[in-house]
Amino acid sequence: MTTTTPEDTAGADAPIKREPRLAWLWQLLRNPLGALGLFLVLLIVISALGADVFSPYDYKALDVKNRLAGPSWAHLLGTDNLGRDTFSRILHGGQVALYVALVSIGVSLVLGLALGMLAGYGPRWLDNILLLCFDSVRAFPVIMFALAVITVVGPSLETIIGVVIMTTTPGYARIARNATLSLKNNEFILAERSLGARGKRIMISHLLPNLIAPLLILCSMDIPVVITIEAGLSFLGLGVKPPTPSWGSILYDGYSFIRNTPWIVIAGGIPLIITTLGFTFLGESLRDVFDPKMKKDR
Amino acid sequence: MPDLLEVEHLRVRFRTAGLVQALLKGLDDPFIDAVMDVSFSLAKGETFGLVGESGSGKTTLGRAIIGLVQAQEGSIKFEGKELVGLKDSQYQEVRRNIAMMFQDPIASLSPRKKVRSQIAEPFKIHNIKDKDPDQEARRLLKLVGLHEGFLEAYPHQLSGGQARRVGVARALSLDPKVIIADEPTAGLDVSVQGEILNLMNRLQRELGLSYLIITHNLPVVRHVSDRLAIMYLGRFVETGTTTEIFEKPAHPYTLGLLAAVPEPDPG
Amino acid sequence: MSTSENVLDVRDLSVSFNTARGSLRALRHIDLKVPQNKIVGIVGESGCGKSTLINSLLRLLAPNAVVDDNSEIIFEGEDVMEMGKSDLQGLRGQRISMIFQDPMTALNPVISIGAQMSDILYRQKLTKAQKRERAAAMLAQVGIPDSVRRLDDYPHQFSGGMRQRICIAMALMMNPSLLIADEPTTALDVTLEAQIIHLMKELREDFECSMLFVSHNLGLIAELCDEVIVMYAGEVVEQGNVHDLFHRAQHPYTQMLLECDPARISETRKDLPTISGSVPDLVDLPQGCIFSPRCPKRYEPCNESPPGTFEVGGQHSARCFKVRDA
Repeated sequence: MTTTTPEDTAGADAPIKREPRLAWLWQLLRNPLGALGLFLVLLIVISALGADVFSPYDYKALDVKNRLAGPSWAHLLGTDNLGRDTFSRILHGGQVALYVALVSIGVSLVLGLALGMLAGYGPRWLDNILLLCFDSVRAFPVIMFALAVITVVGPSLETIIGVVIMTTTPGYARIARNATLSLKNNEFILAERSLGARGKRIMISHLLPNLIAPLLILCSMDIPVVITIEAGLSFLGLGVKPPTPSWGSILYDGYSFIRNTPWIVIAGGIPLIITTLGFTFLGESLRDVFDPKMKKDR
Repeated sequence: MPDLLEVEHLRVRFRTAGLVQALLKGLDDPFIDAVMDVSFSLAKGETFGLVGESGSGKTTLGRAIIGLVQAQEGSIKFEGKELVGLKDSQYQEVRRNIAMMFQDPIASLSPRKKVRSQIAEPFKIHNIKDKDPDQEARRLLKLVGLHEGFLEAYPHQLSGGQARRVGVARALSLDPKVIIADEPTAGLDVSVQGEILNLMNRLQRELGLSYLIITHNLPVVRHVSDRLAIMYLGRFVETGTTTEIFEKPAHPYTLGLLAAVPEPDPG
Repeated sequence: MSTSENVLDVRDLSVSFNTARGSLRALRHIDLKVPQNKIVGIVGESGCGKSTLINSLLRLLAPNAVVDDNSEIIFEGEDVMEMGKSDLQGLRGQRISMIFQDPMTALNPVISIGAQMSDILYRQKLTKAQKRERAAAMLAQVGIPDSVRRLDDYPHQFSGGMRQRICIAMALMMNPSLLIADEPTTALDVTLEAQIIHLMKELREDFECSMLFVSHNLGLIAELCDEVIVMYAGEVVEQGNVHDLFHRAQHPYTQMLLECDPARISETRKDLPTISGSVPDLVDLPQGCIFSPRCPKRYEPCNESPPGTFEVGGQHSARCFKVRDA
C-alpha cells in the first residue's frame, strides 16, 4: 500500500518565501529609536540641502544695528555679534558639516573596502604589510594628527577631509579584512573557486556585496564623529574660514557673549546634538535590523 | 578504454606548523596525511560512493580532485590527462568537465545573488559567448524541476530542497562529465532527500553523468551508488560493489559502521 | 489529577508571530503530555514548529511572538505561562534543562569544564571542593575517563562525542525533572551517535528524569523513545506509543514519512518515495486539514474544516477525518 510516489519534482513548484520589498524599512520604523533616528537625519539632511530656500536672510548679511538680538519673529534664533541671522547660518553650517562628513566617510569607505579585501583575500605577505600600515596610522590620536597636518598645510575644509580620510580608512579596512577572512572559507566561495572563478571576480562580485551592509551601518555611526571633529577644529579656528559658517565657529562666536546672550551657543549646539543622536540611533537600529542573529528569530 | 577518472596512490598532506614553528618545536614532520595511498576509478555513467566519518579525509579527497587542495603524490587522471601538479590556471579546463556540489545547500550559494546569476555564473567565469546565459538559466532551472519564478529569488528565500536544486542546476551548467557531490542530502528532510536523489538519478540517465558521492549516510548511499569505498583515517579500508559491502562487510570498521545505523523499527 | 503523573502537560498551545507579511501561525492547538520517567520523541520536518514549541516551554520566544490566551503549559502542577521572572529563572536550567545540537557552541570555549559545571550549582550552598566533586562524579557517570583530572581541561581539548557527553553531564547537574534534547546527535558521526544514544538509555535508568527528545531521525526515535509525537506545519498530527506509531500509523503524513526513510526501504532501489507538494504557508493557511493539499487519501470533509483530534485507541490519536470515519 504505497501511498508515496517516486518522483523528483515534488515540492519544487512551491511558492518562494518572499519578504515584502521594504520589509527592513517596516522593521526600522517599528522600533521607536529607529523611527526617531530616521526622522532626525532626514530633518538635518533636508534643512542642509534646502538651506538656500529655507534661510530667511543671507547668512553673510550684516545688520549691525540689530547685533546680539534675542529670538524674535524676525530672527528666529536671534543674531550674532555682527548682526547676522543665526538661523540662516546654522542651516548653511549644516551644509558644511554634511559635506565634510559625507565626502570623507565616502572616500574612506571605498578605500577601506578595497584595501581590506586585498589584505584579507590576497597573499599573506600583502596582508602583513597592509596591517602594519593600518595599525601605524591608527596609533595617532586624530586631533593631534589633525593639528600637526594643519600647522603644515594650513587650515581649510579640504585639509579636514584629508585628515579624516587618513584616520578613518584603516578602521574600515581592518573590519573589511576580518570579514573577508571569515567569508573566504565559506562554502559559497569554495563553490565559486570550484567553478573556476579567480580572485578578482570573487572579490568584486561575491565578497563585496556581503561586506557593504555592515560597513554602511558603521559609516552612519561615524558621521557624527566626523561632524564633531569638524566643529571642534572650526571652534579652535582651524577649520572653515569665515565668513563660511560652521557649527563649530558659530559656537565659538557665541562663546564670547555667553553671559548676556546664551542664544547663540544654544542655537549652535542643538544641531550638533540632533545630528549626533539622529545618526547614532539610525545606525544602531539599522544594525538591529540587519544583524542576522536577530533576524533568525523571525 | 581507460575509465573517465582514475585516481592512483593519491596522497594529500596538510602542514600543521609553519617552518619556524616546526624548527622551534623540534618537529621533524610538521605534516599530517589527510589522504593516504588512495586508488579508485570512475567509469562513465557510474556512481561511486565515498563513505566515512568526519576526519576520514573524504571531503579532502573530493577537493583534491577538483584542485581546491594540492595533492602531493600519486596521480589523478581525467580522460587520460594527468591533473596532479597542474597550475590553477591550467585547471580551468578541468573545472568545465568536473563540477562539485558542496554540503550546505544554502550556504554554498552566494548570499546576495539572485538564482538567475548563480546559474549563469559559470558562463561568465569561462567567458562563454555562444550561449545566452539567461536562456541557459531558464533551461537548467526547468531541467532540475523549478519554475521560472525562482530566477528572481535570493538563496535565503529558498528551502533546503530548492537551494539544492539550484546547486544541481549550476553544477550542470557547463555540461560536465563528472559531478562530485559532497553530502548531497545533508540537512534535508527525509521526504526531500528522496526528491533530490531521484532528480540526480534521472539526470544521470538522461545526461550520462558520473557521480562521486561523498557521504556519511549509509542508508542513502546504499540506494544510489554502484560501488563503494569505506574511508577511515585517510585510507580506503574496504572497496567493493554496494551489495557486497552491505551484505558481506569484511573490514571490522565497516561492520561497526553498519551496526551503528539506528534501526527505524521499535521491534 | 493527571498533572501528578505528567511532568509536563501542554494544553491547547497556540503561538503566532507578527511578521511583515501578517500573522504567522507557527503553532496551533498543541496538546502534549510528558509522563513521569518516559522519553517522548518529537518528529517532524523543517518548519513543523519544533523549535518554537521548545522555546515556548521555556518562555524564550522572540519579542514578536503572541501566545494565545487559552494556552496552558503545566509543568509539575504549575502553569509556566503564569510564572514570574524569578520562577522562570528557577525553571530554566534547574528544573528543565536542555541539550543542544552543537556541543561546541553550547560550551564556553574559554572556561574550563570543571568551572562551567560548578557554576551551574551557584545557587547551592556547597564548598568549591564539593562542587568539583559533584562535577567529577557526573563526568564519570557520562563515561568520561579520568574525570577528576579532566575537570581543568577546556572544551577544545575534547572530541565532539566527548563534548556532547559533557553537555549531557551539565544538563543533569541540577537533577532536572525534564530534559529537553534538541537533535543532540545531528552534529555527530554515526558511531558516536550510537554511543550517545546508548548513554542516554543508561542514564534514564539512573536518573528519574523525563525527556523530550526532538529529532528528525526516525531510527533514533524508534530506538530511544516510549512515546512519539508527530508534528506537521505547526500541528500535532499524530501521537501514541512508539509501537503504535511505527506499526499502526493512522495519519497519512506519518505513513508517508515512514515510507520515505531510506533506512526502512529494505530492497535497493534507485527511485525513492517522496511526499509530493510542500509545506503550506503558515501566514495563509488552507481552509481544511493542514495536510490535505499533499494528502493522497483526501476526501470531501478534508477541504471544509480542520479535523479535530480523534482517538484511535488508548493513548493513540490522530488529527485525521479518516480516523473518525473508520
